[in-house]
Amino acid sequence: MIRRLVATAGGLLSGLLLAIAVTPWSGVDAISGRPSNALVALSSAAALGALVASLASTGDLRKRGRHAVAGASLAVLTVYLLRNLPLPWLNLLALDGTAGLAGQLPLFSLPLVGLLAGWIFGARAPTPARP
Amino acid sequence: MRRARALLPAVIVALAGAFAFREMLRGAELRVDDASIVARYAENLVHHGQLTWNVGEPPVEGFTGYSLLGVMIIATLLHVSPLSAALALGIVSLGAGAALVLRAHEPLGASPLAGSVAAALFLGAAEQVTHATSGLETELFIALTVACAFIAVSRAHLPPGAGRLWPLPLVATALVFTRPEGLAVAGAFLLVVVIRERAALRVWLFWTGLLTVLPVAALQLFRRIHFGGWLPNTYYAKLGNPGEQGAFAASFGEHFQAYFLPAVVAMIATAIVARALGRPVTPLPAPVKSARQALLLGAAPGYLALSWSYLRSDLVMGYSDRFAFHLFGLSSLLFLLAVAEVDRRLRSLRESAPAHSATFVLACAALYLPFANAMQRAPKERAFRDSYARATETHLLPTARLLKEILPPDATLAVYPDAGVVPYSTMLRTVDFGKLNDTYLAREATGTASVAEYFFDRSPDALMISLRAGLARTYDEGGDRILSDPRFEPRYRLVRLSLRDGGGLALFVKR
Repeated sequence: MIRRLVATAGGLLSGLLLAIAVTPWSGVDAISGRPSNALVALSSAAALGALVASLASTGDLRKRGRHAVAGASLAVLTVYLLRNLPLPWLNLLALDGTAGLAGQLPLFSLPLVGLLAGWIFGARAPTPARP
Repeated sequence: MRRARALLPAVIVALAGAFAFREMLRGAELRVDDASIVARYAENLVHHGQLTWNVGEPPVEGFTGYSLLGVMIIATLLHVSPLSAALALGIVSLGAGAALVLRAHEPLGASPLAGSVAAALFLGAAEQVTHATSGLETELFIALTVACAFIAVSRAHLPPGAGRLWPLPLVATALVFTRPEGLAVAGAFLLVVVIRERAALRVWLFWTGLLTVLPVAALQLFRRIHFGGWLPNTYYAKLGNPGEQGAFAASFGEHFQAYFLPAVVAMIATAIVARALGRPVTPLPAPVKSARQALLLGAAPGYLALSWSYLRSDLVMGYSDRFAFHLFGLSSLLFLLAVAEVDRRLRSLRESAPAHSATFVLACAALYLPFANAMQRAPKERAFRDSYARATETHLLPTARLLKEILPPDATLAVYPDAGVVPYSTMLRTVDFGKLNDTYLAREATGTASVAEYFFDRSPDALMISLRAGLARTYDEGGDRILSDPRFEPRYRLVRLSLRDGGGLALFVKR
């Protein structure tokens, strides 16, 4: 359980750091509807998901690789949903962030992705042994 | 629990049906102008024995398909309003299409729940109510594409030549008779089935020849003999000008993104996660595999042909961004396929509890997204229907009443371009500058000068013209040219100007 909590906290922190890096780069539009911003959103989420999943999981390199692929895939799906679902409007200006629809703010989306990846792949047995 | 699971699909479809029904009841009654064009043809045939736009003039084919015309002819014969019959046809088609999408889960190897989600999307998509209540043939066409695909995928579960063979050729013919581009969809599904069942080629050739080739050939022959061309006049009237083609592409993209893409994204993501973390997925039974192949192979040429056809079409009215919806029946079945795959891949993840739970929740959210989009678009669609109905009430119907008062029954009216409600209500001889019902304007007129010359050659007793910015800017440059021509002012006087926010219409009659 402690391992899982550490992985979750690590995922959250990684997401936060990545969001802080992405926000000034992608401008005030954050990761909103523009194609270039969508690309930033999806690629940064994929990288984050893969990183957190591979670090949080245990096992050999092959297994970690499989987890990284799954983590990247789940992260992309999460960000795709966050960007498209009619979520509430958030104001993160106090955190030197941006304001807008919740899913379109990196400071909201990316930590959530990291948290999710840490929670899933930090579990003791996230996947059964392959036959 | 088991009972609740059995009831869930019915509850989902019932909720979506209730949503669609509520949307139908809300707001004003939609009466799309082109429905009245078809009604005029039907009444001319029943009352004057001539399938033509103006009684006594050379026939012109200004309607899209014969199915809606047939329904309106029957309604007129039965002394029922043809427009009411068209409305009923649209609503019945919506229900029938949803029922077929629901039933398609069996041949496609999906669960009833997946079928109900797809059927709910078919019912709940915001534009569906607009089409079902438009009085046009769109909803019938959508339902017939679903029927055609459904029969084709169901046949994948039968040995070649077994069971009843006539339904597919019959539905294919109905599709061609409903809209000309139905030929692409019907032809593709027929071809896929006949190739798969080539062992029974003779029987298939008999039924296809009897129920599809012969009627379609007869229609083409009738078209050539009666109307003088192989293609309807509407085809030439809508041939595009390149500047406006982007609107259709944008419309396709918008519908794809709103209703179909979330399921595709969910399917791909689930497949990747399942492959990385789960046990190998259960292989599909051969008939299900064959049914899915039939759907994909049959749908692809349909998509290509419909896209090609619409990308070449001119924007004739504000209704046009909804044309992309002719593909929605096929899209609903592909959506069903995506949901079925999400379901199958999730099953292989069952032993991986955290990943299974997370993927399940995310996939459910992705499949909810099209419904969220539908609910977001519903007020926009309602506003469109209301504004369309208001424009009819404010501009067209009062003009029709005035024309009946001031013009004799044998007068000639020119309409620029709305040829539906006013010509149908007044039944005056009408020159259609919207081109649908005029062979010269659709096929031969080039440039605004020839349009203006044609107007003065025909010398109509009245002109009803749509305005974009008062009298300074009419519907298009051809209209501007007519009004600014030095011959116009001495011959015509303005009798009615109906404006709202600059747009509206003007009615001129001969001095």
